[in-house]
Amino acid sequence: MHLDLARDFHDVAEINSRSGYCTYRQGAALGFMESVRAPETQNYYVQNFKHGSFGDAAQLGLLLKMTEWKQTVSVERIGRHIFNPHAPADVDSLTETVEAVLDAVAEFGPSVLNLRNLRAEYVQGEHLAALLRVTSTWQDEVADWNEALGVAAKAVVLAGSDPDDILFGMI
Amino acid sequence: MAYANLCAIPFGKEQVVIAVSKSQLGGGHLGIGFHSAKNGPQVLHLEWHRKLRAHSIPMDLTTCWIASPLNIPSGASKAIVALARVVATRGPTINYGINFLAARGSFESNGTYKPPKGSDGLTCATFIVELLRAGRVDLVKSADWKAHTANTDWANIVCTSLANTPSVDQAHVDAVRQNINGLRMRPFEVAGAASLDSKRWPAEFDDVQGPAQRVADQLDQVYRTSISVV
Repeated sequence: MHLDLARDFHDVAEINSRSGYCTYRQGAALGFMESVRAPETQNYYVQNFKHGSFGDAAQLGLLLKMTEWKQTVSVERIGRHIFNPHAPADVDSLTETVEAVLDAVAEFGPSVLNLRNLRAEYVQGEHLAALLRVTSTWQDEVADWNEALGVAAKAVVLAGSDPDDILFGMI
Repeated sequence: MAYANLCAIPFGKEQVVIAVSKSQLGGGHLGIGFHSAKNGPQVLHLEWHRKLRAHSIPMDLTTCWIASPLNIPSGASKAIVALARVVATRGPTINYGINFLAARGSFESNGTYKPPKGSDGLTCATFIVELLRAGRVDLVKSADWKAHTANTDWANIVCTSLANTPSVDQAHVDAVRQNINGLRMRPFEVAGAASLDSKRWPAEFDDVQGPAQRVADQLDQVYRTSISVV
């Protein structure tokens, strides 16, 4: 499954804590998911528990849906600063973006990222540049990585910064 | 840019510094300094085989370090800090090895250590080179490095030391021994390369010899001063 950052990103309503669903059928599967948004950092954390056999197609489908949901949460974490042109670009917020990208790639592989249809007016250039820097190893596996580099450069200019500074070593 | 005592140089949250200390094996010891998210300034360095250390500055420092901010634009520097934080947090297990040509690309851009086929590991110096390479900062032209007989002596000492380390298996010692070829990327050379203008990166072997000697001299000077203060 590929997630389109520009298409699939949307804000998550603030949630202090929530239990997802818990299903159990004898001899089939038990799936349980918890999610929580940290009240201070606003980071979104998910735990996913899977037990049992998956001979039951319905249960397997449930688990696939869980994976899909986790991917969606990953994209939301990555996009939190990238899709806010006014997001802070201090080193701590950049670290959040880098960690979010790292987690997504570690869990789903680089192809989970899809940088199609990005527009410079709607992205924070430094955060997009950080994403590109830390995914440069897989630039051939991330859809439209090179095009996104051009978008980042335009976004940086729109923000009044120097692309040679932000994109040092990449352009 | 001149190197100075790591505890005395001011460096901001958005900067990384290249840090150098003395080494029992000669040639210096290399690390990278940055501000961690929670624990303030740290120096991250590959101390020895599977011993990646992050020491708080100045509390955890037991030896004299000198350092100089890495000469890259602030916008890119912030992303390198983020990358260093990720590597420090993950604490990858890294073998100590000498074949720096085979080790090129050891770090994926996201900070994951994944040694290429044929790599026997990293040294303290090539750890920094590879970490920065993952962040698109290419300090040295390692393919053109030059061999020296003194490096063969160093490599033999490394193998003896590895063999005397209880946690190192013989197969790793043998693999490192097979890679002895007179090539070595000395910490002072990497520190010297880092002191050059970024337009001269990736730096060639001959271009870093002078700066490398200056870094060694600066370390001696600061070391002598710190000893006399004690």
